[in-house]
Amino acid sequence: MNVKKLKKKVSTFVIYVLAIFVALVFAFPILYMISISFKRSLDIVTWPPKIIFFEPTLDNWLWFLFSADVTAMAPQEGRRIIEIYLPNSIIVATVTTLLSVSTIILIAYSLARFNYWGRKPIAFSLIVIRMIPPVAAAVPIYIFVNSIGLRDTLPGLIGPYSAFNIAFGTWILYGFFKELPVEVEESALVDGCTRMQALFRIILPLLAPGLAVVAVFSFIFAWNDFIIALFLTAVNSKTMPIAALGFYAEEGVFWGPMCAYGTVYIIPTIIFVALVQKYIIKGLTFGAVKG
Amino acid sequence: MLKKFPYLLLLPGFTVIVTFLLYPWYISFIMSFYTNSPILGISMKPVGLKNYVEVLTDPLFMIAIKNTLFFAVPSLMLEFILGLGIALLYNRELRGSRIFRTILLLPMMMAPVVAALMFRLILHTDYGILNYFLELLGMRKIPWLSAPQYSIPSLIIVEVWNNTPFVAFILLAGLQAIPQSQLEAAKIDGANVFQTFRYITWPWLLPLVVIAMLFRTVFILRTTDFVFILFSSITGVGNSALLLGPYLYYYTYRVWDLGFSSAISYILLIITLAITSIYIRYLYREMKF
Amino acid sequence: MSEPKKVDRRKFIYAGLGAVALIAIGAATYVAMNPPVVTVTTSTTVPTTSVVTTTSVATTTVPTTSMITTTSVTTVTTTPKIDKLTALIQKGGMGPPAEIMFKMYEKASGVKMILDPIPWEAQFEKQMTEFAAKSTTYDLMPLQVGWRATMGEFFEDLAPYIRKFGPSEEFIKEKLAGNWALGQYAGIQRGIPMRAGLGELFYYRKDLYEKYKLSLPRNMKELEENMKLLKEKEGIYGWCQELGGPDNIWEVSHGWMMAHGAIDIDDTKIPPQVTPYDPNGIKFAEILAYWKRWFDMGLLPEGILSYGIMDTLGTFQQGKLAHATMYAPRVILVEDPKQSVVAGKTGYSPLFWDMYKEDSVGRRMDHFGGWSFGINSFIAPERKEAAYQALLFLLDYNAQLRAAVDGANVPTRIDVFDDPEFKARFPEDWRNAHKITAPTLRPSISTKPHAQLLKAFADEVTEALLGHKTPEEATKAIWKKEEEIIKSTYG
Repeated sequence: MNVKKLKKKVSTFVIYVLAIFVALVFAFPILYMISISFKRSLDIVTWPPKIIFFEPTLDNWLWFLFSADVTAMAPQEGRRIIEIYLPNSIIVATVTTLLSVSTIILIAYSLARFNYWGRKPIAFSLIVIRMIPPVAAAVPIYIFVNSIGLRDTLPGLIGPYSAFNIAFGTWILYGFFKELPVEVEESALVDGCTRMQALFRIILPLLAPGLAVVAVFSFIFAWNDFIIALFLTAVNSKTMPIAALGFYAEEGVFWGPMCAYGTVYIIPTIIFVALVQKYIIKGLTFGAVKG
Repeated sequence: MLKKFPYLLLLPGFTVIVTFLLYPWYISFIMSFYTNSPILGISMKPVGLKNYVEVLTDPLFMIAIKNTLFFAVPSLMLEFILGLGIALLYNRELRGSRIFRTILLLPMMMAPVVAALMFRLILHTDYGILNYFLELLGMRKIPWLSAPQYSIPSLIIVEVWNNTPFVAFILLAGLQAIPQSQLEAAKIDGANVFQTFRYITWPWLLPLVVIAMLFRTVFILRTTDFVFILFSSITGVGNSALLLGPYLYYYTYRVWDLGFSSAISYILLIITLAITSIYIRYLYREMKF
Repeated sequence: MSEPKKVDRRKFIYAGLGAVALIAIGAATYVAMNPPVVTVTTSTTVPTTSVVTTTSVATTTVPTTSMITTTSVTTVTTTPKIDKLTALIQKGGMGPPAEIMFKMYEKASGVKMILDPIPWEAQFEKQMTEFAAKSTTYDLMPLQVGWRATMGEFFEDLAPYIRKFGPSEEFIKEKLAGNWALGQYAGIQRGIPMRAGLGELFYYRKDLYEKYKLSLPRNMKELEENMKLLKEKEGIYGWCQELGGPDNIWEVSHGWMMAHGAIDIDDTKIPPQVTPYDPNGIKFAEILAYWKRWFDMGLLPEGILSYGIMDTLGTFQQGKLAHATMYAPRVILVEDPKQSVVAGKTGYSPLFWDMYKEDSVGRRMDHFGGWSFGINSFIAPERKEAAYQALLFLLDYNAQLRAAVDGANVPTRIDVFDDPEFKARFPEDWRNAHKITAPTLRPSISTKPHAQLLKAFADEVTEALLGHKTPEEATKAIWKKEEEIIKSTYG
């Protein structure tokens, strides 16, 4: 084995080690959470912490999966958390993402490829609008949504979430637009495409990584938002994040079931991200522009 | 008709935004010039700039600014450096890179409350894992959550863990989207790793870097969620974790002085604009063709 | 296009837009000043008679006068039949007992009870938002004893309903005693109390006390001695407090203060008054000095300044604590063998009961926490009477018994304490603690600038515990700040 090959092998090895290390650092709290979901109450908050040696139990999972929405103390009949909260969240997050992404494409395209009066202030206003902290926006949004009768409904959540996402995602997609050489479109137009055709057939596929990023962040925001959902939902439209505080009750924290909840919580997002991942691939523009 | 085309494109999005987001801003703006407190039964007495003056002279406000600065600057620097580093690291053709990238996003995927509680368990002074390891290594326990001088470092740890993936993910996607032809050309021309980075990669990546850091900056100034859960208190021990976000939360949802808190929102907006103006000016320039 | 022309057109457009913007802002201001009317959604059906039977509380349906209802009158009580009521309850804490009682009401009356649980951490915010928006989502809302001043006005004044449907004066005196005040503020009854517990009940390791032949401490000095001994012999912490955050610090401090006969604010007067520093402040400074001392001696866990509910309880359950003061209903969790290694080993007593005379500075007060349910004043008038019927049921004997036994509730009816089922569920000395403190109960302080007072108080206590100020300096600062806050709120 010559030196060059050896160097390459070592460097690859080092890179793998680093990559795994980084992954572990980010994954650690999740792994911790999953392990807690299998621990008995007595083993969870202990001095000193019990990391490896504990008796596993399925109680927490059974509790969480079958527990009703109302009490924090025992499984009961009634609407279950996963019956209500989970579907609501999935619907809200999916619809929000679709709505947001499609609108963002239009706005970002408009800002990136056209020059018209008012372009810069409009772009600027998007960032400024997004600067409102959801904490401060929650009460006015509630008053507004209440007055149009959308209180405690899913559209009442989708609207504000989409607004936040659009204001935010447009700039991210714009950044990806900047990475696309203009020549690609121009040659398509020369070849006889209309603007819209150029957009859909040529640009979007090239923009796939950017779209994936925007889709992922839109989904995550709509999935994770807590404060707006807290005020806007009542009995029917509750979403998953609100359930989190339910395990943090006056008596104490129900760590076990909460970690079971936390594990279930991340699964839809993982699925979504994994699906969307494949669009983030290298070299989409390879050969698209000659020379 | 064609001339209006770009405006048409804007229409659907802006309708949604204006409907839901402009109203809160208007309400806040109007209310910041009145006193309005449901608890005290005082409603809507116009007071001009009194709220703004009171905010700027509130000692808690100064503490909040100081704490936020000490918190935000190190966090942003770390997020940028680590984010870029991780993006470069994961940019290669590794086996299982899909898995790595999904894991990378895990911090953002967790329920904010749950993530904060996990960190409380990890950083807890008396029964936390981190201190447990420190003791195993022969060091003393560090009162992460229960001493004022460690509050900001604890917040930085959680913040960096939570949000570096955001930066890394955007940059990673950006790296993947760089036209291969340029990179190949550089290789052929004999450029080494650093030169490729400096002359090819970095210029392409710059808009995304600016955008990612812009949003991180905007959001970090508003950090609120995990302060309460980490410290059992909106403000940490004493006022050591009183950031601008908790400060706003306190006046909005505990004191319910809505005029005052609206003024805080707008002052926060002005501060954010001031700080991000550098980013924005760069992006403005970039908006030429 | 030549330069001058371009500029002119631009200016014109800017001016036009500026005008439009001004008009828009003006319109928005107008809209903001006259917020949109919230549409009221009520489900009303054909007017029929509505009769509700409850078990042991005296209710009679009396021919209406135009006093209460707004609809047409026929023979007996005629109100549109309300078949559904929505109540906001808590997740955990008082939620399960409320759920139990409301579900029993549903069975008894046929009125469907829709319950929406909100975690305690977010409850104040959520409730205030609902009130600020004048929302009609919920018919019934909970009222914590500390929130009476800030939230009480948004609840319906129950006087007309009490006159019409009860409870009667004797009932209140006999069966509810001091608990009735939990739902009252400034002389107006805003809620019906359903949960009442000692705010700071003294939990101690009975097994260790028996082992070392210790007796219950009657003042802080004796407590310290017990703590030192147990730390030495057993290696466990002597004490733990929830000292994380203003809410916790306030609760614990007041429990201790009041047990010594001291208090900082007299909220029975409107506007509230700050009590004299001598002797109240002096006493609190002494308490604070002891806490600091114990912290420096290592008798308290190091992380105590960020401790919340879950930490104190968890530490006690793990057997790492010799004593703690916690909210009374936590007994169920301490006695649960699945969560607690000290189940069956714990004893209960009012804090520093039998205090030596020289240690107290006034009449002993036992800090009392609790919850009531009241009627959202923004709902339609015809709904309010039906809502009151549901509230009345909360005073039913069986309802309170089931809530106590199955829902870990502390009943507001004192006769439930003598029930055999209740006795079997709750330890004897715990029951005793509630019985003997009946004459000394005092509800938590409630004032309008509640958040500010708590913060000022907690900031100073933290300064003292961190050693930045002496206990005296901190306490003097507390008294001063409280004066300022009350003055600026009430004028």
